[in-house]
Amino acid sequence: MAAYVLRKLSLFGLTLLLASALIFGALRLLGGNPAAIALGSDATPEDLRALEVQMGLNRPLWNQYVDWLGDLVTGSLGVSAVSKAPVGPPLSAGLGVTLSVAIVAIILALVVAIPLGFLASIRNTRSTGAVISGAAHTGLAIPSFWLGLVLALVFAVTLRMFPSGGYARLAEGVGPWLRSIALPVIALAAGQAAIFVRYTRAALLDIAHEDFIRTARMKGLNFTQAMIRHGLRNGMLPVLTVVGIQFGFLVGGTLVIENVFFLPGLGRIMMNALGVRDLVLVQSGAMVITFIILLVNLLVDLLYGVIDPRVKARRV
Amino acid sequence: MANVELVARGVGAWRQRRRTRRSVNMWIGLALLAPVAVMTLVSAFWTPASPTRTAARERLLGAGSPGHLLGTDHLGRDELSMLMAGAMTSFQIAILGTAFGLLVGVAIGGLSAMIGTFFDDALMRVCDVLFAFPSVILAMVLAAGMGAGKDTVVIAIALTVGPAIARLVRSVTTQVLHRDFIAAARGYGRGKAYIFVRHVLPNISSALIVTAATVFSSSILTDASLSYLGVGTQPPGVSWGRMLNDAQANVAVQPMLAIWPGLAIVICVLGLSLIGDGLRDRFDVKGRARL
Repeated sequence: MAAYVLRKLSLFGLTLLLASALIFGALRLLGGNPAAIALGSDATPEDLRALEVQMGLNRPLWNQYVDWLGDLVTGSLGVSAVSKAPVGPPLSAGLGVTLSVAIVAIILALVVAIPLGFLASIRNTRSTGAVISGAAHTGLAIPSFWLGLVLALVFAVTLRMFPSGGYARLAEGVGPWLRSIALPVIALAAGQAAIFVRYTRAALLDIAHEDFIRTARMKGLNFTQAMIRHGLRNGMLPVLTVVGIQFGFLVGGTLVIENVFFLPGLGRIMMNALGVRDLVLVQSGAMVITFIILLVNLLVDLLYGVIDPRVKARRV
Repeated sequence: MANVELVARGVGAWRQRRRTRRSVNMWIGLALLAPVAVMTLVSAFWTPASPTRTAARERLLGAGSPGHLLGTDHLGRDELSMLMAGAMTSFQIAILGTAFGLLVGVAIGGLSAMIGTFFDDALMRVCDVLFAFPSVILAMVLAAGMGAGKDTVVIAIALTVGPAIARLVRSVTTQVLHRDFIAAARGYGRGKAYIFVRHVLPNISSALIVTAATVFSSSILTDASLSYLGVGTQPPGVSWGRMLNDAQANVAVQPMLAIWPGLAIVICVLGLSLIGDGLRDRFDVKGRARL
């Protein structure tokens, strides 16, 4: 187990370094001069030079990258060239909002999807199965931010059951907090649930023909009982992998939906930063999100080793 | 071998049934997509009104107003014409994003599989990192560097789907490389590049076609979110995402404006993914790029 964990941890570190290089490269090498884009086409060379100095763009690229890496490692995340303030505090506040929405959404999606996927697998050949599969297929095609818009239209604007925007911190009470994130969470969870239903169903269908299910039935359990007692745990392994992979996409969706419901999460912070060309805020924000996503993937990998002992043996 | 086992377990009949159902799915998919495709093609040379012409006096008209079948937006632009022009924008971006994604994916996946060793490990690691980036983040970073616009969306799509395609190409290529005719080609003295182009590519083309359909539909979703955020197509260009963003501000006056573009997206994406599933079964492709 120790070797397995160590290998995963070192890969994690390497991946983070690579991610930082990619973010920095995408921001600074692909696009040309951010100062020139900020000023527009009719800027004088003097203005351009002044803004470059102000944005910290005049120093060698390599120095800028190493400095930024230092800021990342110490956790300070750098100082904004636009507001002159450290970017750490706003980013961590935003991360709290984004993560609370994303995590509640993934839990809701799993709670809804696993029973539905189970039902779809044991009713595979009947209409129940077909209806659930069809609904899952449709759910995949609906953009979560649009579902959010429609939910806001129905439940906030028309029925006035939920606030149409804004965020109540958990410290203000669980009720207000849940009410403020309810609609975005439902919108995000619907799409995720559709994916989890498909994977749960597929995984359980594979298992339905395993020898140990037949053995369990020979011992007197009916098919449903056998699947609950012996099938579910085995079927959860591929679903767990998908949860890890989907977490990244879910966070991406959360960043977009924050703009629908005016939630002060990382997505909104970064969109505002884009508007004022706050490069440090954008690149550190991107790095924080990447870090979280990679961390979740690492945890899923480790958890996989715990749930299924065969994994460690195979992968080391 | 594997097939014998499956039939022995009685799965054969189930597979057969699934195949029929999937082929029905493909027809539903085509039926959904056909009207959108026709609308898009027509929009290239005719729309009911100009999708960019604003009219201060005709702002936020309801559906069924004279001359405006689906009403007008907050600038008085004809909603139906905008939907048609937006379809064109979406398809252009999705086609370019898919094409570049395939190019990147086939190049990286092919190189990885053909060269192997350390090079393979390094490339796959880079792919893992890119794969962890949500396209939204990548697009924001790109937009900060090079500005918002169609190009930003296309690059963001290509760079996020590319790695997934690369993984798929690498795994199917590795399978093909074990076949006898590859050994024969090697024995004949053919180089790696020749073998990849002449022997591997034709054998993985069905997997690529299926992947392209899936990537295409996910590209339309990505483009919608990005242009909703304002990172994508810039005015006066028309896009479904931007229309939804505009509609949000006027949702109390004309709620239907927030419905039409979303429905268009859902119909497109659902149609494409049903077609993709149908193709998957027709070609009997087992591997699946996670997108």
